[in-house]
Amino acid sequence: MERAATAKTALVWASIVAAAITIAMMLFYAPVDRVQGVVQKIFYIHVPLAWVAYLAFFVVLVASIAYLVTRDSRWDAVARASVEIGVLFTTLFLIVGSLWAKPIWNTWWTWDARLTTTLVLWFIYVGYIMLRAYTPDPERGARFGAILGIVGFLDVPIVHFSVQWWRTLHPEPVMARADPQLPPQMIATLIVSIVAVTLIYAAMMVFRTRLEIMRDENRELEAQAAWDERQYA
Amino acid sequence: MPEAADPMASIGYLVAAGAAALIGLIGYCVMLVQWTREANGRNARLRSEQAPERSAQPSETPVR
Repeated sequence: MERAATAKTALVWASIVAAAITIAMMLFYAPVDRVQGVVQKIFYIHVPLAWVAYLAFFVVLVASIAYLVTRDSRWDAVARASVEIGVLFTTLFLIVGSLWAKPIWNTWWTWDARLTTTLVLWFIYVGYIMLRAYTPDPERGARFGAILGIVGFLDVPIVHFSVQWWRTLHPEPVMARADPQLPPQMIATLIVSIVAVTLIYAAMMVFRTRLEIMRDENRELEAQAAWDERQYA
Repeated sequence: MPEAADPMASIGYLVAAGAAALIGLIGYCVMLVQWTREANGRNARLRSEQAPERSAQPSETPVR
């Protein structure tokens, strides 16, 4: 029990330190882009947030499959936690992307393939949260949610490959290729920022999943109390 | 890139993006702490309410 608490504290501190290192590297180590200028540094915020959103929805996919196979409610708690955090990260990378688009594309938003498929992704998982909130039977909600968590993930590869499949304003991936076209300082800063945001996601997941399990336990205790009351009234 | 050419505007967009990300992440963490406190409090209350009842009337009801 104590070891778990120590691990949690260590994870929180690791994510705070990694975030501080990322900010320092972003401001003082990564070179200023010759074409875009200082605003290009938004890259070190936008890309890690997007990566973690994909990761969060992948965790939802895995947890949803595991729930359908095992019917263990802890997998459902993991999926619910990861959906919420994934939606948070998607919201943030859409906002941050918009703040990058304005000075570069001269528009806050355009109905480009990458942006549109990302917005669809956001709606799918906001839909998941609504579905869970409005399904009164928790077991039924978990089953419906697991199916949506699996089907919804189909949009993630569409978002990722949209820049290759369609002609878009959004640039193609700069890292996920055999010959990354970036200076080493930019690559190092990007890697550190991805590690930092992944650690933040991991820390959030630990606390959010614990909270979901606690809420399930509270519901069970309430149901038990109501049953006892009827039984012995 | 009309606004990217202006260094002050560029810095403004960078600060806005950083602030948006920090506010979102820290705001969510604050909410998470609040929700956890509420759930812990509720859990402790439910357990303390059930403990005396249980000792008086043991129940065989299966937990869902």
